[in-house]
Amino acid sequence: MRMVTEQVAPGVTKANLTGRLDIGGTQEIDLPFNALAGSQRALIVDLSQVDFIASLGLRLLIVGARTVQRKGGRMVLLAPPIAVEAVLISSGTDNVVPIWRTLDDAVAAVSA
Amino acid sequence: MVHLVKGSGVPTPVSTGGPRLLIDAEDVAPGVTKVNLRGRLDANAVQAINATFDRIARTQAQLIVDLSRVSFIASTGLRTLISAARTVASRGGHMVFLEPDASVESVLITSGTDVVIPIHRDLATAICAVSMGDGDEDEWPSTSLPFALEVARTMRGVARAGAWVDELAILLNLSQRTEYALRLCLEELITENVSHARPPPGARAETVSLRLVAEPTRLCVTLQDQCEEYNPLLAVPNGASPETSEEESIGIGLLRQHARDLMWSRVGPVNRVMLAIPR
Repeated sequence: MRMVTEQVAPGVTKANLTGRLDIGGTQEIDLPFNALAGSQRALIVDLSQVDFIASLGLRLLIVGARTVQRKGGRMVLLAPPIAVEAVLISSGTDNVVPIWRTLDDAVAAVSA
Repeated sequence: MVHLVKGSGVPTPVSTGGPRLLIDAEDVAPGVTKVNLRGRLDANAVQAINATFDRIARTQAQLIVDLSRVSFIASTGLRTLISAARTVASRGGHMVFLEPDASVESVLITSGTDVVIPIHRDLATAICAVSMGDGDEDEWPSTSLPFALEVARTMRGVARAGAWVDELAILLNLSQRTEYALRLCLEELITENVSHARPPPGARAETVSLRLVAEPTRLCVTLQDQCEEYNPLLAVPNGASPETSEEESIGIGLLRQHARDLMWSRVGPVNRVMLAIPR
């Protein structure tokens, strides 16, 4: 599991996750991801290269989103593959962290 | 039908010295062979019967293994039996156990071996069970390959099960969808077990046993532990919306969406969860 961050607009950070958000992957990025959520007010989590997520990974995203929201900020998810999106929706995670398909929409959503 | 060891007359002893284990085979119905084992299936005895048993498994498609006179079975014995069942299954055959005594039966259940090789109490039902599906030449081959893994009841064990899914995905050429569902079900169930199941007082119960039988259209998965009675499926009621549930039970909600025929049962000292995943 890898996490690389980049600036995609003024004040907007995109975290690119690559790999599986299974137990191993979640543990690997747990600390850096929480630190990132604690320091950003406009955060896009790019899931396009994540091919697995289960409840442990969902918990990571939900906790991250609440951390950002507690400071009045916003976090969204970008372009998950179909199987991952199905899990995000059926678990209701998309109610806490909205899903966007394009970067432009995601940037607009966190900047609004 | 050719038998390596004749069943008629005096059974042929195979092992020499020490407590003796005997093996012989006999026809009990057309095409159905019964292998009679006697004595203690310890490491030495297993070594002595291994070759004979393997040859029988390679030549017989409908095999009943009579354990009524086996007084002890070691883990090497279980491995020999599972390996024989896999050989039989790989040719579309069936293997079952007949009448193990109480202590041997408890070992078969605790180790999950009975999931792969069913136990029958009388000869007639055993014959019916192994004859299943016989004669349907046009049907899809009923190849069922069993796989087994024992993982620690820790988060490391959860990760080990994930690596097992990697191996199975290659071995069984699983679709991405099936691999996803299998990975999710194992991760959720073992995590649930690690977090909530408790070993009985004074006992260890440090592992979870996994069994997977790969059928042509589905994977049949069994998880077992020796913890106190605990049903993980009660974590969220059937049909409850995961959105409204506690985060803790999201996992079981996801499990229900990825698995079919989810079932929990208490078998002696064992918690057993069974499920199927479409291929």
